[in-house]
Formats: sequence, structure tokens, C-alpha cells
Amino acid sequence: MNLKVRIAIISVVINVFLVGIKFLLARWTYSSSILADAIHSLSDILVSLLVLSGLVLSILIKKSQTARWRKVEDIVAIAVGLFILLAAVQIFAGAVAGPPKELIRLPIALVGIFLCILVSGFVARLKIRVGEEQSSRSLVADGYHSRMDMYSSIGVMSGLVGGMIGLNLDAQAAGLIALLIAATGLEVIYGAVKALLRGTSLEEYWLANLFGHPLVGSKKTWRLGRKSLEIILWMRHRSRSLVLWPLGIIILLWLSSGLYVVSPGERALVFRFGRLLDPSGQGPGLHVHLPWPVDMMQKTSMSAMRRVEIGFRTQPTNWGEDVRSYQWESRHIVGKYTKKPEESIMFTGDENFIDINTIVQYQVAEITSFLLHVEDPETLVKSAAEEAIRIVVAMEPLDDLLTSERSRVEKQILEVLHKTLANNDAGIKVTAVKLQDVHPPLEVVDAFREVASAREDKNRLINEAYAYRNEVLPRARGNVVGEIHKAEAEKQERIHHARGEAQKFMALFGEYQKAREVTEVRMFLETMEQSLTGLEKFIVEPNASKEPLDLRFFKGQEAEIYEGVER
Amino acid sequence: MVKKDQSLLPKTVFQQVKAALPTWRKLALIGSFCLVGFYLLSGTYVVQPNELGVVRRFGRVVNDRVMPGIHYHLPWPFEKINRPKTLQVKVMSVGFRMVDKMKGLGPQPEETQKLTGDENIINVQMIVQYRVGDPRAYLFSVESPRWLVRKAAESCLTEIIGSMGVDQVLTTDKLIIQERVKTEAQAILDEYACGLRISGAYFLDISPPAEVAFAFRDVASAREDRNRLINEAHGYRNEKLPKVRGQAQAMVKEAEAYRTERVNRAQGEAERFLAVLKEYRESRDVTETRLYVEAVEKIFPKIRKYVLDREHGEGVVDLKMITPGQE
Amino acid sequence: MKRKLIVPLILAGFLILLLNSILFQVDETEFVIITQFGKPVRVISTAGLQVKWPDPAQSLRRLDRRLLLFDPEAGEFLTQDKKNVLVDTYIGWRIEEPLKFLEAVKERPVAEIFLADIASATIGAALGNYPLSALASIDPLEIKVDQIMEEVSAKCRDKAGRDYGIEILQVHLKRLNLPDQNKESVFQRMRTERERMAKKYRSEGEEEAIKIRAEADRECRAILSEAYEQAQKIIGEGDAEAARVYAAAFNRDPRFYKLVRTLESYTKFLNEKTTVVLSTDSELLKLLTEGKSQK
Repeated sequence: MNLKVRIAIISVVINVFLVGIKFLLARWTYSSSILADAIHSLSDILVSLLVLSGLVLSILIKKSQTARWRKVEDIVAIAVGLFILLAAVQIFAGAVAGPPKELIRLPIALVGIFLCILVSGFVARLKIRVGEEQSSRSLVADGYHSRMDMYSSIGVMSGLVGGMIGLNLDAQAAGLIALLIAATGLEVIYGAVKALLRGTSLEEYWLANLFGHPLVGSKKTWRLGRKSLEIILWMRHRSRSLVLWPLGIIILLWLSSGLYVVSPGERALVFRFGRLLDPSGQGPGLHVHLPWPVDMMQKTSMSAMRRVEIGFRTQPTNWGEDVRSYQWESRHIVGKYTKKPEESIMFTGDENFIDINTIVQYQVAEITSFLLHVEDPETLVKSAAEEAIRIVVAMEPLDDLLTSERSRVEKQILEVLHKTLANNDAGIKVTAVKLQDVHPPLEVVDAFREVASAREDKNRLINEAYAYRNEVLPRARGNVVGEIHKAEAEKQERIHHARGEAQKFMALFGEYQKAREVTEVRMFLETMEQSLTGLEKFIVEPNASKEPLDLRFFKGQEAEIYEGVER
Repeated sequence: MVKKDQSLLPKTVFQQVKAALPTWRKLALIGSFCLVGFYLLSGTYVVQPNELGVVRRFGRVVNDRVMPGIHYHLPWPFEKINRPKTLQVKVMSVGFRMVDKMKGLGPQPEETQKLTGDENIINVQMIVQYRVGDPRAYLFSVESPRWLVRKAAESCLTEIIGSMGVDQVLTTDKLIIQERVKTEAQAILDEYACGLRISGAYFLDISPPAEVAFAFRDVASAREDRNRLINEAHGYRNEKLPKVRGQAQAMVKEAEAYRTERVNRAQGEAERFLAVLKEYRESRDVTETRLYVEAVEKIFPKIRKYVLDREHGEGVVDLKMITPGQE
Repeated sequence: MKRKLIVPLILAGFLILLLNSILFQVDETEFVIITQFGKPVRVISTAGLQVKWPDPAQSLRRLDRRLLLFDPEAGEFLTQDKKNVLVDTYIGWRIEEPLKFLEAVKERPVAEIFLADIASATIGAALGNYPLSALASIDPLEIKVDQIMEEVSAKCRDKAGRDYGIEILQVHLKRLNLPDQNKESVFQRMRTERERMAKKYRSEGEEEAIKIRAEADRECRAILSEAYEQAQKIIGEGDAEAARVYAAAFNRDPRFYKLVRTLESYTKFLNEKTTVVLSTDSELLKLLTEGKSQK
């Protein structure tokens, strides 16, 4: 009993370790089958914990109270079973519906999974051996269960090997493992429900029904599984050594290195001890070559459009940033582009600097030259294109490059680039040279924009002048009319005044002529009265003084002299 | 397993429930029947009155006009149903984002600003109403028909506003623009066969940007100012003319009064003269002297008088001695 | 009993996996390419249920058959008349040759990068040959937006069809704007444009007002002067009448009239403001100096 518990604890601890590794691998590779395997192992841990807790309970708790505790345990077991079942269904649905994901870091995953297989294989062996020694059926069953774990990991590994070859079997492998998980879940629920209904302990039930996996428990399926995995079992039967069956796996892996899949648009070259076998290469499909290190294979996509950026780099990490428009200077500060001024600044024909960002698109034209003559095609294309751009740009004036001659310049660059690459025998066909952002260097962008601003300013100044004109002109027109009216008024006024006064005079004159003397006197006197009444007057008799008098002395103010008025 | 005579013991609740429960086999049977039933029933669906149903069997459209009502399709994975709301009018914003509006944010200047034909910048926000016309085309021919509506309307708007002057856009031609956006955007949608029908395009806001809004408003107030100035001038005229007419009349009246007064006075004076003349003719000398003296009497008390002696007054008189007002 | 239940369930699951790998649906919206160990053997473009060998012998790839919209970021370009404009476009495209598409670009994000490359280059080249007035102008004859976009579309269509198996239906101009740096001066210019109008209205008003006032003033003066004329005439009449009346009376004895009138005048104007300097031998003072003796 004691040993059994200890083994169970060890197995739980090891399983936790395995689950951790598998989750890690799943995150690294995006493989759903590894994830499924991890969940499978997790479900096993849960089951093991359930069993363990049951065992511990049966030791610790008094007989009278066990019944109640057992019911609690059963309900927990049902919940756990449902959880496991749910996980299985999700994985299964993902495997059936989801599009296959591109796997990465396959070699690491392979090594990791291989490690997991070794560990679970060892644990399984340990459990079975101890179980047989102690004649404990449950431990033996647990051992077979662990072995099942190992087989599921082997399934995952074969999926990964398929990935290495070029066949994506990840979803299928995940689906199969999901079935195993589902079986575990169903088993737990079934057992718990039955135990609950019958009032017996869960452990008793499990022990009675060959604790463990349904596929392990069932002799028929076990035999089926045994046949399907005959090679491994053969290895196991031939020699009970711990070393040999992993060796079998490695040999299988080695043999599989001769298989390769060529995807649409790709072509593969096979080299035997470094010598090229067929210069035309292999097209899409499944092919075989002698395993490593006799034959080696290199493949590349012929029809894939490749792309080199000159003058800038697109950074996928910054794609989330919401930049709605790229202005000349903003393209280098925000958003998904970073600037490479050493590549983009060029010298134009009229001795100006210009900032040219270019895209070169190319394809592989000839696979042997491409694979054999070129070490780093991207760098080659980039440096050749940069050179071609410099040559062409150096012959063009700045303004043409900025505006009207862009498509012609693109064509010229393409021609020069074609020649350079043909000379290099690179097996590369450039399909397009596209000028992206062509602008003056950042330092003078402001000045260039100022041209447009200045034109606006010109219009602004003109408008202001017009505004002035609009302000002044009507007022002047108004004043003109006003002046004319004023003059007209003056004219009329004068005419009317003159006419009135003339009429007045003529009327008087008529009467005057009739009685000249009297009227004259009267008018004279009337006028005198009017004018003299208010004035300061001095009347000096002509013989009053011999000398003229200074009349100011009579009154301290100016006065009018009125002399010689006599009767 | 429990090996006891059950009839002797009182049955526990649990045991009673257990006895009442159906057997496992029955349970499984009922359960599976239920499952199959649910599965078969999952093909029932209701097409609402404003919808049309499109049924696909293994991905291929077998019926693209399922009328409103309750219908049945083969359950998953055999048949699938889509029910676009063909009678519901949906709304798409142009020049701003509904999300921003709901959050209470202003529109992005990049989206709102449009360049007019005379190179002015104005803010335009528009609403385009559309509905699904052809459900099949709507579902399967364009990836995102909704966004196509916005993009098409926006490009039409850009082109139309780019061909008009700012005053035209802001005042007279709003309705024309709406109509043109509707028809031209519809043309793009038709070209892409996206199955949507635009039922209308309406301006939500069309205004000069904040930076120049004041100047635009000032033009309107200047127009008012013009009218105000003219009205004021008319007021001046209306105020002044009657006043002047009154003045003129007063002037004439005054002259008439003068005439009357003058004539009357002349007559009076003439009459007085004639009276005195009569007296004078009777005794000439006396009357003459009397008149003379009377006049001197009247005058002398009023005036200042200085008398200089001609014989004694040699040389210059020191007139400083004579202070004014001193008699 | 549990074996009888669980094992068939698991077998059923296994069967579903297998069927899923053999039977597949092709939707109305997609192409399916079947590859046999990586070698393309079938391209299916009709919707419905189809059969293939199970994985890994034959696997399938799905590609979108619908019209797709791609909206590259707006870029800044220089027009022929050296004006900077921000041009925002969108592209309507679809996969025309699925196999070529799969081989050349493989997936949509990659395709969009390529589309952005050629669209940006083509628009730049096209705009360099047109003035800004071809994009925005009041004169309908100058506007060539449709022509420019058709030119751009044709070039892109040609390139994309040949190299990527993509059909470009149309490149549309979505937005047209000016760089931020230029906007401020545009706004200033707009302000002055408005000011020009505002000033026109205001001083037109002033003009009209001055005219009206001047006319009113003129009328006033005319009225007043007319009245003045009339008044003068009336005054003249009065004066004349008075003169006639006077003359009729005074002519009876002009000499006496002169005396009376003169004395009357003296009494009126020889008032407090008059100073008289008399000599001692003045006739007026004779009585004062010589006394009654002489009389």
C-alpha cells in the first residue's frame, strides 16, 4: 500500500512536469496536436489525483463517515469528467473545422516530444514492473495507462515528422488525441455515476474494472493497438532493453528524412554527396530521396513573388498603430515604416539630394543558378537595385523625378537591374521596380511644402488687396455721388438765392424808381437805424478840436468814428 | 451489493428515489431519442417579415428567396440558412465614425475634410441610408458590402465636392450633391454587384472648418450690415426731409408775416406822417422847432457828452482826466 | 456494458474525422484547391459537396472568391504644378486565377502588400503628369479624376493580373487633402477670401448709404433754397408795397419828411452807446454859453 501511494505520487509529479513541457511546446510551435496531448496528460493527472485522494481518504477517515465523503468525491469526479469531456469536444471541433496552421520551430518540438515519450515510457515500465511485483492490479493498469500516454505522444511526433516532410497532419493528430481524452472523460463520469448509484466507493469500482483507460482495459482493443504498433512492440519483445525501442523511433525518423513534399509553385533539387542529380529539379508532389547524409534536398518557390524594400523597412510589429495617412515626414516617424536614409538618399542629375523609397519585386527564374550561385538573393537584389537606382537617378533632374518622369525612371531602373542580374547569372527575374515615396530629403521637405504655402500666401495677399479695393472703391463711389449731390445742391441753392434776392430787389426797385428821393432817404435811414443802434459811436463836432482826437481814450475800447453828421 | 432484507428496514429517501428512477437502458434510450429529436428540430427557422432567407446546401445556394414565415431546412452540416433583413434601412456614416460619435468624440479631420474645386477645405459629414436589395449578391459577392457603401459614397463625395466651389457647396447645391452621391455611389455598388440599394444620402453637417468659421459667418453679418447701413440712410432721409419741409414753410410764412408787418407799418407810419404834416402845414416854424427839441430831449439823457472849449483848449487835451462814465 | 457504450462512441468520432477529411463543402464565397502531396490537382469554383482522398494524401486550401476591398494608407504626392496632396484610395480586387495566386502570393495580407506597392507607385507616376486642377477644380473641363483613376487602374490591373493572378476592378480615389503644413496657409487664404467678400458687402452698404444721405441732403437744400427764394420774393413784395405806401404819403412834402424821419432815426440810434464831443461854440450849446441875452 505504502509503495503504491508513493508510486502514484511520483507518477503525478512526473505527469505535471510533462504537462508543463507540452504546453510550452504547444505555445512555441502553434501545434494543436501538442496542445491536445498536453490536455490529455492533464486529464490523466486529474484522474490520478482523484484516485489518490480516495486512497488517502480511505486511510484517514473513520468507517462511519466514509459514505458521505465518498458521495462528495463522486460528485467531484463527475464534474472533473465533464470538464475533461468538454476539453475533448473543443479540441475535436477545432481539428475538424479549423484550417491547418503553419507550424514553426519543428525541430525543437520534435526533441521535446521525444523526451516526453522517453519519460512516459519509463514511468509506464516502472509502474507495470512494480505492480507485477506487488501483484497490484491497479498499479499495473495505471502503467498501461501511462503507456497509452506514450503512444499518443508518438502519434503527435509522427504528425510533426509529417510537418517536417511538408505534410500538415497536425489537425488529424489532434483529433485522434481528442478522442482519447473524450474516452477518459466518459470513463470518469460513467464510473462516478455508477459508484454514486450503487453506493460503493469510486476506487473500488475502478479497481474492479481494471482501473485505467478503456482502450487499455479492453483486451480486444489492446490487441488491435498492439498490432497497429507492431514495430515498436516487436522491438520491445525482441529485447526488453530500455535502449532499443527509442532507438527504433530514431531509425524511423532517420528513414523519414528521405521523404519530401514539394508545395505548389516550388521546385526541389536533390544532391547526392553534394553533386546535383537532376538540374531541372522536382516539381510539386511527394518525392523520395536516399536518407541523410547520402542525399540532400534544397527547395525554393519558383513562382512566389519576392519583394525587397530599399530605403525603408516595414515592421510588422507596429501594424497595430492607427495611421490614417502618411505624409512625407510622418512616414519615417510613426506607423509601420522605418527609414533607412543611407539607402534612400540619392544624388540627382541637377545636383540635388532626393529621398527615394523603392520596392523591387522578383521571382526565381532559374533554380540551379539561384540555389547554387547566389548565397543571399535578397542582399544581392537589394544592392544591385540600389546601384541601378543611383545610376538612373544621377541622370535625372529633381523635378522630373518628383513628378512627371516617374514611370519612365522605373522602366530604366528595371532595365539596368536586368542587365546587372543577368551578368551575375543569379537566376533571378525582376518583375517590377516601383518607386514608392519619392520626396526631397526630410531636411528640406518643409521648404518644398513652403512652395505650395507660398502660393497660397500669394493668393492670400491678392485677396487682401482685393479686400482693400472692395472696401475703398464703393466708398469712393459713394463719396463721388455724394459730392455731386452736394455740388448740385449748392448750385440749386445759389440759383434759388440769386433768384429770390433778385426778385426781392426788382420788386423794391420798381417802387424806388417811382419815388426816388423819399425812398432813398427812408432806406438810408432805415439802414442807419439798423446798423448803428448796436454800435459804439462817437460824434465829434468838426470844430471841436484842432487836432484829431484819439478816440480810444474816450472809452477803453475800439470804436467807430462817425463824423460830420449834421442836420 | 447490499445484502440485507430490504422489506425489514425502512426505505431511505435515496433508495425510494432510486427505485422510482428508470433503468440505465431506458435513460439512455430516452436521452438518445431526445438528442436525435433536438438535432432534427434544429432545422426549424423563422424568417421575420422584414427578412428574406437564403438556404445553402453543402455551401451551394439552393433557394435565395425564402419568404417570411416558419420553414425547415436540413440540419447542420447539410444546410445553412442566412436571413438578411431586406426591408430594414441601415445607415452608414461618411466623414465620421459612428463609434466616435457614440463615445462623444469629434470626427477625425482627415476623414471630415474635403477639398473643394476652388481649393478650399470644408468639413462634410454625411449619412447614407441603404438596404439589402439582392440577398444573394449581398451575402456572397462582396467581402464587406457595408464598408463598400462608405468607400463608394466617400469617393463620390470627394469627386463631386472637388468639382464645385465652396459657396456652391455650402449654399445652393446641397440637394444636388446629395442626389449625385446617391446615384453615383449606387453606380459603383452596381458595378461591384454587391446587392445593396442606396435609398438616400443626407448631409449631417457641412460647414467650413473651425479655423475659418468666423470669417464665413462674418460674410453673412456683412450682408446684414449692408442692409442696415442702407436702412439707416433711408431713416436719415425720412427724418430729415419733413423737418426741412417744415423749415421751408416756416421761412415762407415768416416772409409773409414780414410782408404784412411791413405793409401795415408803412401804412401806419404814412398815416402818422400825414397827420403830423397837416399840423405842420398850419404852423411851420413852431412845429419844426418843437420836433427838434423834443428829439434832443429824448436823446440827451441817454448819451455821453463831452464839451471842448475851442478858445481855451490849447494843444492836446489830456483826456486821461476824463474817465469814462463820469460826467 | 460500458465498453459497449464508449468504444462505439470513440469509433464514431474516428469515423467523423475520416469523413471530414474525405468530404468537404465548397461555399459560394470560395475557391478550393486540392493538392496531392503538395501537387495541385484540382481547382474547384462551383459550390457544393465534393470528395477527395483523405489527408495526408490530398489536402485542400480555400481562397476567397468574393470581391475584396483593400484600403492602403493615404500617401503624399506631388502634382505636376508642384503641389503636395494627400491622396487616399481604395482598391476593389478579387482573386482571378486561384492557382497563380497561391503560387505567387499565397495569402491575402501578402497580396495586399503587393497591391499597396504597385498602387502607390502608379498613383505617384500618374499624378506627376497632372496639375492639381485635374483633381479639384470648378471648371468641369479641367477635372480628369476619372481619367487618372482609369489610367491607374489599367496599369495596376495589367500588372496584378500578370504577376499575382489578381483582377483589379478599379482603383478609386477616396479622399483628397492637403498636408497639415499647408493647411494653415490655405485657411489663411480662405479667411482673406471671406474678408474680401465681407468688406465688399459692408462698403457697398456704405456706398449706398452715402448716396442716399447725399441725395437727402441735396433735396433738403433744394427745398430750403426754394423756400428762401419764395421768402425773398415775398419780402421784396412787402418792401415794395411798403415803399409804395411810404412814397405815396411822403411825397406830399419830402423836405418835412426828411426832417421828421431824421429826427426819428436820431432818437433811435443815438443811445447809451453814443459819445458826443461838442465844441463850446456849437449851435446846440449856444443857449448854454450865451444865455438868454441873445434871445
